[in-house]
Amino acid sequence: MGVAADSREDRRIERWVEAFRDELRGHLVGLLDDPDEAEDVLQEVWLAAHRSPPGDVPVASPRAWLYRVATHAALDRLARRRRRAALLERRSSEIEPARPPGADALLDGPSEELRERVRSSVAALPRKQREAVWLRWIEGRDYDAVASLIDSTPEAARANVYQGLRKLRSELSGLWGEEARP
Amino acid sequence: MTERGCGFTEEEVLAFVAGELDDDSATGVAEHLGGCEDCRDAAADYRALETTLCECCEDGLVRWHRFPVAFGRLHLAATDDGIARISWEQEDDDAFVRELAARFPGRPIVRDRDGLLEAQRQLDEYFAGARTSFILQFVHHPPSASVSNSSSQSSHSTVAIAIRWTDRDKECFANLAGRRRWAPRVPRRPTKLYADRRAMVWRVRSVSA
Repeated sequence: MGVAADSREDRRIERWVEAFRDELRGHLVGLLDDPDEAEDVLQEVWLAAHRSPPGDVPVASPRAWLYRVATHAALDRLARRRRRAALLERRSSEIEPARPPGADALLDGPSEELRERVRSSVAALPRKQREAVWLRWIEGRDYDAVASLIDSTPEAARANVYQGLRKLRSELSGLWGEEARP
Repeated sequence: MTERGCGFTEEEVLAFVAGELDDDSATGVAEHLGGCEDCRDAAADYRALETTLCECCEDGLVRWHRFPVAFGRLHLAATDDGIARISWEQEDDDAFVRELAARFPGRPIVRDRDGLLEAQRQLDEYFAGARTSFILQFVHHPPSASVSNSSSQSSHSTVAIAIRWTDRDKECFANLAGRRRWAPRVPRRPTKLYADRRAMVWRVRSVSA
């Protein structure tokens, strides 16, 4: 893409910034309940818009695209916030100031114990749910492809994905808190 | 799916996180999340789950694939270390996966046609008579007690072997990585010809018979 096209793209995003900044900020404050963090996420959204290939950013419905990107970024923040809260809670209740096993994993990556637990939960899913979750959720295949691979229909593949994910959420939703416990 | 008190279902929240909703519906859910703590928690859980699954399972995954061959169908399974099981018994998918689960307890087992495409191609060529050796690395991989010993039972067609990925496999994975959100970790080990290692292969005669 040439300089002129880049410049046109920048001007388009700048127009969005003007048009949607206040609305998005309000949305993010509602999600995060923290104006400073909402402002951080807002900056991430603008950066994402500038970095995205032109085809990824729709001309027709920029508001919907921005809401999607902003909400996902805010949800990631919320997930990280929970991890930190669990870690701090664990540390504040310790008599010994030593680092708890797996504490690094909360911020840097999961511990081996956590990996084992997640693997076991995934392994315990019924076969079609497990495969549908993996193919759709991790590998990003569409439902037609998933259905073809698990010998099913797209509708049934979708149901398998959703049922599997709900089970995993139920099994693992307390995971970060548990990770921080001894 | 059960509707929550707020009027939104968990399925809608999940579909939003997965990016499966149209613009209007997605914006509706996004706006709703700002005012509904339950739905927001569910959405954050699903976002976290996506990342966690990748982080926790990438090293332990067992992939399998079934494809037709001249004499029936062949099941193939592999870990990141290489091919873990080849079976041309007429067993069904569930039986094959149960066998894998016994061999790899606690490890997620998923179907992955594309990840095993190169191994399938070489096996297809072998069974078509166009190949007499594999450009794959075989290593010693003792079978679990649950697998019968086929060296003493010529009618039994299940073998337990391990084939490490070659540069060609890596190239295949690299091509896939462009469209995948997650790509398999490929170990970097020197490649040796099948014949060089056949003395180490457990029951290799069952493969080349």
